[in-house]
Amino acid sequence: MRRLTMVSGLVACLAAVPTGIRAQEVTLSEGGQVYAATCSRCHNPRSPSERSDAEWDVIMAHMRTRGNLSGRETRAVLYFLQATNVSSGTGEHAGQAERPGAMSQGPGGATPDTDQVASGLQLVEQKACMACHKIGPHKVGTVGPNLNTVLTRRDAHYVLRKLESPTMDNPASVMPQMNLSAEQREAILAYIVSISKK
Amino acid sequence: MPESTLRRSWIVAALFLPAPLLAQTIPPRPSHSFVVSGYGTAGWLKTQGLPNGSFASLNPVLLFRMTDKIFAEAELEFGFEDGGTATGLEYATVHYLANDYLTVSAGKFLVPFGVFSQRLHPSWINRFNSMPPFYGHRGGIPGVDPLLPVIGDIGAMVSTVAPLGGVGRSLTFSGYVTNGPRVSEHDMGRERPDFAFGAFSGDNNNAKMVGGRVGLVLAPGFELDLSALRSKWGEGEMTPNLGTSLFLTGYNVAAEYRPVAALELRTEWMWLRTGVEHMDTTTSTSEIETQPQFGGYAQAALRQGAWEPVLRLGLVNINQAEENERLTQYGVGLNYWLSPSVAVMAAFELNRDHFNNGADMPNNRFLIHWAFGF
Repeated sequence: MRRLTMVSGLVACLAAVPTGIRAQEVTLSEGGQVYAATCSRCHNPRSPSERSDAEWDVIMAHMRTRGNLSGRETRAVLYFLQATNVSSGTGEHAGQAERPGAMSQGPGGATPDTDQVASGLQLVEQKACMACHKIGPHKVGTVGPNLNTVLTRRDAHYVLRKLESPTMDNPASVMPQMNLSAEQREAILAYIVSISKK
Repeated sequence: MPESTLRRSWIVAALFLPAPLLAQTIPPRPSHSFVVSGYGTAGWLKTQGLPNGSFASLNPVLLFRMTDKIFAEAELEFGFEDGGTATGLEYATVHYLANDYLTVSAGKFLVPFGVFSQRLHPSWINRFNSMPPFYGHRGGIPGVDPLLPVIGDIGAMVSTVAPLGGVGRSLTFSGYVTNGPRVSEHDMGRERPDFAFGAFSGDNNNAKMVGGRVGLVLAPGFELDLSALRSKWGEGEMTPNLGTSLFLTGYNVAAEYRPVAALELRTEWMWLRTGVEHMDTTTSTSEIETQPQFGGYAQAALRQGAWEPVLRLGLVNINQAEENERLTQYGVGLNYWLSPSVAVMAAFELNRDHFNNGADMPNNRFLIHWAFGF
């Protein structure tokens, strides 16, 4: 009886956690990092474009119960999946909704290098590349290769092709298809060049 | 802690309980609340000394999100077995997502004793294309009894998670009460019976199985899980077997370590103690003897692009008291990933079986299969 009282009391206390705690916001960067950290605990991370945004909402409830994720972790991963899901078209950051690369074009079409690098940095942050890659000051991504040193192993043409088609050399790549324009790919490359360790 | 203090804490907690549970309105049902997921396998195997064979299975997982807080899931299983089609219900569970840190579940669920059986057994998740020798269920080695006493059972479970700071770091706990085991088959020539759990086994001794698992995720690539369970079991299919003193106790340690993203190291080991009745025919008396068992596996997988070589060491010791009742497995495999959830997996197992009066019986196998998750 004493054990039962203790257990039921503990459960009641946990259930009584105020609702306000649940309302914490998550960011895309956090979502990407939690996605990279928690999904690969058991399996290959799935590409966000495999399912619709609504389906991910249901599936993440399954993953929460199976993987002992917190509510915040679940929301963070769901946000990342939906935001980078170009197949659904409902993602906040999906497809061509944001075109900073294109917007950086100056008068007459000439794009200063510094603008291109800044646009690349903006895109990297919007697409949460740091969730899976070490890039610039971000050192937590471990799913994908280190982008600070990628140009010591690959040439610029490879990086551009990979950004255009993530599965072009590895059918099992989990990198989401970002539907980047040619200008956006060039901008990201310019940023990678600017941070590269030779 | 005095009983009165416990009572007071329960009453205080109960006063707060209705606020989050009752004061909120039922959230609207999401626009898309039903999803079919799952996994399947098709393959071929050759076991030394046995005819070669093919196998196929499909495990649809039905996910139904009724509200933001209520979620139901079930996994069905269709496969070939003994020349016919076998069907099964792996689990059927309803979860109440009480808040960010607490989930209450009921129904038939995969018992969190260790990690492999609850999280890693689907064919596209398991890096090696056969089950570890302790698991047994579908893909077990012919003639070798599985060690794992329970996969799924009926009852209730409480799961909690406490963030430890930093991305992906947490302390988790799952505690459960289930019907527990009853004997499905007991060849009196064997000391340990086969246990059955789940929907059709019931509770024939009014003694529930209790257990839990504590998981410590110290870093995104490092997790340690400790599990324990305790139950009583009894003979008898039709009549309740009350007051039995036959017991089953288990402990499990599992760990996962990823020093780099491409390298996955896993291990899981379990210790079981089963109380069995030993009859002394000379004195016509019986006493309870403890039968110790031990087993586990260690596995390494290294991903290189689409290719992934895998190594596994497995061990099952059905009766630690007897030297010659064990199996040792050395396995090497190679996977080719067609997508993050589809792979062709080939493996060779070198199985050293010491079950037959000390004779070293080779039971080696080659397996190749196509595994897919959807």
